[in-house]
Formats: sequence, structure tokens, C-alpha cells
Amino acid sequence: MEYPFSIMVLADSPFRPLVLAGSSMSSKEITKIMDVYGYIIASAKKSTAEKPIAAAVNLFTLGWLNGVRGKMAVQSFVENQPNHAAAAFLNECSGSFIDACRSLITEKKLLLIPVALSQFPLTSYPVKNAAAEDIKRTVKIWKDIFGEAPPSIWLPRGAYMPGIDELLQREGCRFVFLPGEAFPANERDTFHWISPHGLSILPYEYGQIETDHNRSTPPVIRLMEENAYSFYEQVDFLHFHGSISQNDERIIHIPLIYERMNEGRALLTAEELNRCETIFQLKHEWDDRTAFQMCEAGGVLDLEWAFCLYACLHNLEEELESAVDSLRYLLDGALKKFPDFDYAHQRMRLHYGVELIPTLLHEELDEMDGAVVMLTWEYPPNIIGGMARHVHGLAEALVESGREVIVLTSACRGAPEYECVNGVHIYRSGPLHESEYDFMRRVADLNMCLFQKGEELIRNYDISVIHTHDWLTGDAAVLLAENHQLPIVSTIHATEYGRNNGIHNELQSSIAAKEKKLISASNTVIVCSQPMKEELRVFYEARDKDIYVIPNGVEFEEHVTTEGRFHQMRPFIFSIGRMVYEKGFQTFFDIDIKNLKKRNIQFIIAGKGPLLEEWRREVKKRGYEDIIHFVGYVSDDERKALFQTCEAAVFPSLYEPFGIVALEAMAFRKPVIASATGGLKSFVLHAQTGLLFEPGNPGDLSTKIRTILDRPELAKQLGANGHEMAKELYSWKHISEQTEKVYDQTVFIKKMEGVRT
Amino acid sequence: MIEEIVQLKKRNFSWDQISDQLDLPLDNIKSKWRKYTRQQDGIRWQNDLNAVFLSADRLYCRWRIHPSILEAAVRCEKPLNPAIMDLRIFDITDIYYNGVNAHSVTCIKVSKDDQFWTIKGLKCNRSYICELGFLTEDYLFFPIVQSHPIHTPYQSSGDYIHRLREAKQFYHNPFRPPCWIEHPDCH
Repeated sequence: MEYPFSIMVLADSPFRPLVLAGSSMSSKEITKIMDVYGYIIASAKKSTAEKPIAAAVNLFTLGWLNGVRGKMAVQSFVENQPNHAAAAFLNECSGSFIDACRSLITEKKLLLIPVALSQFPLTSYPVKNAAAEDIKRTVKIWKDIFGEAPPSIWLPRGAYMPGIDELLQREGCRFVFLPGEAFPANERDTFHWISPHGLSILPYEYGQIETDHNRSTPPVIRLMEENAYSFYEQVDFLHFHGSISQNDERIIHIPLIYERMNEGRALLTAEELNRCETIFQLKHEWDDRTAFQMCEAGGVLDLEWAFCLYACLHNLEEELESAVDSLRYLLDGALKKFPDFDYAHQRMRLHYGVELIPTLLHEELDEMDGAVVMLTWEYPPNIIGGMARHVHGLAEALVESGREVIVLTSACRGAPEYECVNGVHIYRSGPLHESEYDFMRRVADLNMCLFQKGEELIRNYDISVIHTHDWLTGDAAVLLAENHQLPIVSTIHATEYGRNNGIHNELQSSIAAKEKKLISASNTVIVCSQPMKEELRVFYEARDKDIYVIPNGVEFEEHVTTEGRFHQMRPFIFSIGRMVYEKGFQTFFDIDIKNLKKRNIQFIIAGKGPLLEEWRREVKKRGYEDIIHFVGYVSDDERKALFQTCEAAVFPSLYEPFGIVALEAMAFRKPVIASATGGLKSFVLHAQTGLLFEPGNPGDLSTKIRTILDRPELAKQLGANGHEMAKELYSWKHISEQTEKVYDQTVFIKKMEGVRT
Repeated sequence: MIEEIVQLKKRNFSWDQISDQLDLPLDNIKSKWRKYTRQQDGIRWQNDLNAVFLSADRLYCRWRIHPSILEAAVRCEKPLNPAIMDLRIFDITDIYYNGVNAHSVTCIKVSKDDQFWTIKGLKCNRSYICELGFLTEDYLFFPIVQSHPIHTPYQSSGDYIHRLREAKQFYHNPFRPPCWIEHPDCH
């Protein structure tokens, strides 16, 4: 890219409107401004379209020149100094500085760009979105004055980091100036530099009027009242004469650059940042709704704030005090719904010289009447155990029946922070330390993140109930419910007591304490089977709690692929679950393998967990490698294919509060052999919908497997009956209807508590 | 009017009931309620940790932690000393930081009332992230807020060449996220 100008000036002298306001039109202060800006247009007027002059200007000054007082100042200047180089041209343009600029821009004699409005380094805003807003505001004002986006924005102190190119491009800028020191000296003028987001980069260096400008790139001259005249005088000789044609494009990633960085200079000082902190705090005092009160004088609050920051950064004490007073006065009126529009318009017209188009109201947030927030530590695509499937099925079924559902869950690599899937709003956050070794600390970390996100959601949505799944997200749920007096429903999928057949160590005891705390804080508790309800009553001191039994639901899929990596292993018995002791997969090691071998049957056991490797070693030790296969994690499609093609599904759990996977097998019309424990007993009815065996008894299990293999008609019948039962009782539609009743009941009870207090 | 809505809401009246009680349209009531909660929350809720460059090797951290967030954190994990907070800066160059895999960490003890700190001596061409939290009773760090990551400048301007391939790839296919750290406002 060739430089689209021959020389560049930077006119960024502090703008002091209070000094200007108190001075007469012929005062020194106004003359100073007119000299600098007047000589810019006079120099541009002299140039040709082949060699235009570029200028980066202070947007507050430009706005002021466009305002009522600015226009009066220009007219007075032209009258008082008819011999000034710019006077005749300004007269031609009816005394309007902006019209003069427009005309020169159209003739391609002037390339005008703004310095970013607040002049705060865009890399260093200690407030989220402040840099993006500064760029937007700069462009908005520019459009108000010139009718189109500026071709570029001058970066305050040359500060740039990756992403600023994107922010500029989003607003319509085409190129950006960066300090020359960001580029290797020997390559700087060789290439046409392009940022990764596709913005052309023009390296710059400051120069003096007196120096020889026979260099390859045009210098940037800081224009002040002292050198404005000599610049105008010498501009013809100052034109850069180098002939460079940078045809080779080179993409460059620059982590950070600012002026004089390589000399070890600071970009900002901590004092400057601390000084500006009060101004950043001011930004928190209003929101879109307050701004809407001022929409007639669109953007005035933002503009006042931007000027406060500008004044604070430049240490213009009087200006700052006056601007803060002005902002507070406008804000006070807006908050009381009685804004002083006269004053607002006066500030806009006199001070800032713009009449911004009314601020667009943000679209009304979706109304979410009576929404439920579900907290869960896993949700698809993050699937660890049965909980993700459960919450997923329930959430979608609730949406289907017209309920608004927001799922709040942990972050998952590859999944967005927010998405709306089949009507379910899914927000993901935390934990900050996902690989923290200490499980309890990881859970605490996750709960902090969910709590903070939940606070944000409660502010934005009308929530009527919080529903948490297990103790893992209990702390966040309880904190949110307490803070907002919301009713809390918790589904206890399993208990620590049940998982370990008692509490035996410190970790189990901490988990059990968390479970008790959650149960005690919940208004109602849902469990998935009658045995679980008993367990809570006996071991979790929940005798006085409202505990509802709602079984888990299951999805029915018609078309499933049967191909896959396990296709060759048929016929096989399938089992799936977490590789932990209570799932009872160790029972397989002592079954009657010899006898089953004759039937050429294989055992595929899928799932991951802490005991996976140990069990694999055990298989090897016993020489069962060609019969029992611990295949580890299987994908969703593989799991379905395995269910679809197995001869039977076995669930040998020693403890199983519900056993959703057994229901899944039933949904695939497969005969189920399950241990007679917990929730499994409630839907695997022996010899009707499946076969039961004594938990942990390999002999009994072998007998039941043989029965299925020897009696295919019975196996088929059990599969068909199981399918019917699953469909009748455990469809998500059915489950969600029951859950909704619990919600209504809980909200009602909470309301009664409120009335009593 | 908003006072009455707040009173009724505190008593757990439904939106319909409030609408009946005050004889106002439902939308009107909800809009007033949202405005009220936002005003309250806007002032009450500010939790963030910002890390910005003061120079190529100095970082300025400023944080705002609302007392209720701190209270919540203390309920999740007991602090060793509630008056002392831990500001940590992790070197996370070229890794997907997961809380336990930082190349190095620098710990700074700050008072609960402190709000900013300057960190000096950053190395060239490294990625850092800051966290504010506290030490638990087990002498383990419990994070509460995390900053946006930052990346320090190259040692020399010619070092851009090491990222040339990635920069080109992103330029030609900008639909996948870049493999470097971008300005926080881009997200």
C-alpha cells in the first residue's frame, strides 16, 4: 500500500473549553486554535490530490469548532484577520471550518482522521468494553460531523495490541498508524503491512519541520501554535519525496506496541490510572435505561463521561470539575425521570458541537415469566454420568410444555458460554481451575463461578424457582436462593452414604455434610426412587422434608446406526457405567466364563473412571482378554449402536439410586439383567420387564445370562415388555409434567412462608 | 410505585397478583421492577480484576470484589486469614491454562482493602493471567476472580517472524479463533 498522503500532522493539543468560554473571540486562546487548525486547511488547500496532507485532530476541538461558539469564533477570526492564509477559503465556506474540511476531503487534498475521543490508550482501559465504546463513540461523532466513518483513528500514545485492528475494522476504518519501532528497521519500508484481521498498517515516526525529509515514509509532525506557521510556509518543501511502492504484503502479529516502548518508556503511570479510577467508577452509576431517559439528547451522558476522562487524563482540573458536575446534574435528572433537556442540548450544541442521533434503545429483553434456573455440573456436550442426560431431557421437555428454562452449568471446552438449544438457554461458567487436583476445591471454585453467573441471570430474567441437581452445585443454588428469596428445589440423584455404603473417610464426610446442607436449605427435594427417599429420611435427617419421587426419563430413538468399531464383536452382552466399585463390574470376573465361552459370547463394558485400568489389568491377569472388554469411553453414537446390537444389557450395581442406563436399554427393546438393588428394582420387574439377580453374586448372574441366551423368545418378550413400561412411565413428557407440579407446589409453599412473615 | 412493587415482591406475590393489587398492566410492573433491580445491582455488583500494561514489563492490576461475593467465597472455602488476599500472576505462555499447569506463578499478599497493585519484571513474549483469591486453611490458593490474559511484547521487532505462519493462517481463515491473545473487548 502506498501512503495516501505526503505529510502528516498531529494536532492533539489539550482542549480547554472553560478557558475558551471565558475569552473573547479575538482572545489569544481562540487565536491559538485558529492558527493550528487554520494552517492545516491552508496547507491542504495548497496541496494537490496527488500529494494530500494528512491530519489527526482532537475530536473535542473539532466538535467545538462545529458548535455554535466554534462557528462564531471562526467568523470573528476571519473578520479580524482577513490576511490569514485560511481566511479567504473560510470565507468561501461561509465561515464554517467543517465545510472547509469537507470540501478539501472531497478534493482529496486533505485526509482527516480523529484521535480516539478520550485519548486514553486503548490497550489500557481497566474497564471491560471501554475501549470498544471509545472507538464507537469516536466514529459516531465523526459520522455526525462528516456523514461517514473516518478512514482511520489515531491511537493515543500509539498503543496497540491484537484485536484493536478488529475493533477499528468493525467501525469501518480501513487502515491504522502504528509506531515504526514495531517493525524491523530493515523491513519497515519494504512491505505493505497488514494486521491479521486485515487492516492495513502504516508505520510512522515523528519528525521535525527543519529536518531533511528525504526518507522513505512520510513523517508525522506534532503541530502546535509555535510551529503552525512555519509548517504552512515550508509545506511544499516538506513533502516527502521518497518513492516507495510496497507491493509485497506481509501479515504481522504484534503483541503490544506503543510510542517509545523500545526505549523503555512507560505507556501510562499508576498515578494516571489511579487518578482516572474515579471516572471509571462514575460509569457504573447509570445504565441503558437511565440513558434512555436522555435519549432525546442522545448520548450526552456518554459524551460527558468521555470528556471527564479526557480532562482527568490531561490533568485539566477545572475542566474535570465542571464536566463531572455537568454529568452528575444530567444523571440526577435522568434517574428521577425529569431530565433537563434544555441543558443537555446546550451542552451538546455549545460544548461538543454535535447533535447525535437519539440513542437506540436496546431491544427489550425477552420476557421470561416464571423461568426456572437449573444448576448442574454437567450438561451436554459435557457428559460425565447420567446427570447430564437427565437434566438435558428434563429441560427440553419443560420447554416443550411452555416453561422457560435456563441451564447454568460448568464450562466445557468447545462449547460456547451461552447458547440456546431447542429453546433451553444454556449458560456455562467455571471452574477457573478446571484441573485442580483437590476435588472439593474444584467444586467450590465451580460454585463461585455459577453463583456469580447466576446473579447476572437473576438480574436479567424473571426467575421463579431454582432447581439444583445434587450437592455439586448446591452451594451456588443456596446462595442465590438466599440472596433473592427464591424457592429452591433440589434433585438428589445419589447420596454419598449410598455410594459408599456408609461414610468412611474425611472426603466422604465433607460431601455428606454438603448434601445435608443442601437438603436442609431446599424447600422441596426430588429423588428418583422410593429407596432413595428412605435413604434421605434415615441417613440425612430429612424426615420433615417434602420429598417427591419422580423417576428419571428416557429418550426413545427410532433410527440408530448399528455400524461401528464394535460391530465385529457380536454376539455380546453390553454394560455401561462409571468405573467405580459401587457399579459392581467386578462381578463379571467370577461369572461362569467356561460355560459362557461355549456360546461364543463377548462382554463389552463401556465407561471411564478411577478403576478402569485396575480392572483391565485384572482381565489380563485372569486371561479373559478375548471375552471381557473394558472399552473405556464410548461416543454417543457408539453407545446407541451398542445398545441396539447387544444380546442383553447387564447392570450389576451394588448401589444404584435409579439406573437410567437400564431404562435406556429398555428403550432399545433389549432384555435387561439387573441386580436387585435400589431404583433398578422399581422398574426391572423379575421375569416381566427383565431379570433380577442378587447384587454381587456372580453365580446368580451367570444363570440369568444363560437364561437369556438359551431362551431367545423369552428375551424378546422381556425386551418388548420393558420397552412398553419405559414408554408408559418414563417418557420425559410424563416426568416434566410431574416436575412442574413440584415447582408449582414449591412456589406456593414459599409464598405462604412469605405471607406468614 | 416501585416501593409498593418491592414490598409485594418481597412477600412473594406473583406478577399477576401484583398487577391485580396495584391495578397496573403486567408489562408496566415488570419494567419498573427490572429497572429497580438494575439500579440496585448496578451499584451493588462490581466484581472484576483488570490487568493492563503500564509499560512493556509492568502490569497494573485493579480489582473490585463485592463484599457479598467475598462472603460467598468464604462460605465455599475457609480462608487462612480473612484480612489477607492473594494476588497471583501465572505464566500461561502457549498453554491452555487449567489452574494447575502454569509455567510459573508469583504470589503477592495484599490487604483485603487494597484495590490495585503494580507488578514489575514481566518477561518478553510471555502470556500472563492474574487471579485474586485467598489462601485456605490448608494453605492452598482459592481463586475468586480472574483477569483477561495479556501477552508481553516481543524481545525484538523481528520476532514477529515466529508468528508469521499463524498470522497468515488467521488472515486467510478468520473463522477460527486466533491462537494469540486479543484485546478483551473483542470477545
